[in-house]
Amino acid sequence: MKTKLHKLIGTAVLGVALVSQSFPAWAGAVSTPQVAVGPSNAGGSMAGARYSAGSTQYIGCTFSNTAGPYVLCSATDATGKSLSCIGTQARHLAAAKAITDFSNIEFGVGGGSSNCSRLTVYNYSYHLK
Amino acid sequence: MKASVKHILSLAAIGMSLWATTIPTWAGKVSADRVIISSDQSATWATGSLTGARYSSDTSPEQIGCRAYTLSTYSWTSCYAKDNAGRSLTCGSGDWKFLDMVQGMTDSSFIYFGINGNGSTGTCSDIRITNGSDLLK
Repeated sequence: MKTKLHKLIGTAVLGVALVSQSFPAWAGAVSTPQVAVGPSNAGGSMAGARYSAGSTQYIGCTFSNTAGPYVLCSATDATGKSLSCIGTQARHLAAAKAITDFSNIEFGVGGGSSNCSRLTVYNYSYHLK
Repeated sequence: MKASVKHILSLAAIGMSLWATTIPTWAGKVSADRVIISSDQSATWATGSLTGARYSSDTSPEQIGCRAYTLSTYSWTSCYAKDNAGRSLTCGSGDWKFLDMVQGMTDSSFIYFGINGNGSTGTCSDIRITNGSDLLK
């Protein structure tokens, strides 16, 4: 009887441990797109890239304001294809500053140059890991 | 004997289940940059990520970060870094353009900051922030 009770408690504890580990993955709406790179556009989520299966995907931006606004955004998809753009407008800096650990980022280059034609930062609950 | 084998198999299955649920934390491109302080003849600079410093395993813990201090007519931004050898660098500035950089920091940012000349403290000559997927813990 005592052994049975021990087994029962053990199973219950184990069940709770397993369920609590998997909660975040299953609760709420989730959308963490992996990195996609096209000829003049790139996009993807920070979580999708960081927690992807391979070790290639990356998306992010570097910024400074030392000598005027400067933003460099880069993305690399699972095949190693990369795209970067440079933004030197105040609006580019404002968008880059809005990036958080779990943003979804999209950017584009225009006119055959490396200038950012657009930079969009999405901060939604469903982009969280 | 049979019961013992069953017990071992059960434990193995539990171990695999728990291990599998934590795997995603370690996949993907990762760059947990440690704190590095460098200099040349005309400048001194520090680099490192918040996650790299926070989860460094040295007995002499690394640190890096920036502080934004604001009053109604005045702001002061300072950055501080300490490497695993105990060497430190601090820069400060009242220029609003550097306050801008701290506003863009996240829990996982990579920070670069520097001063003109050699020394461990000085006016900030540059602050750059990188927020990239590879920096996430």
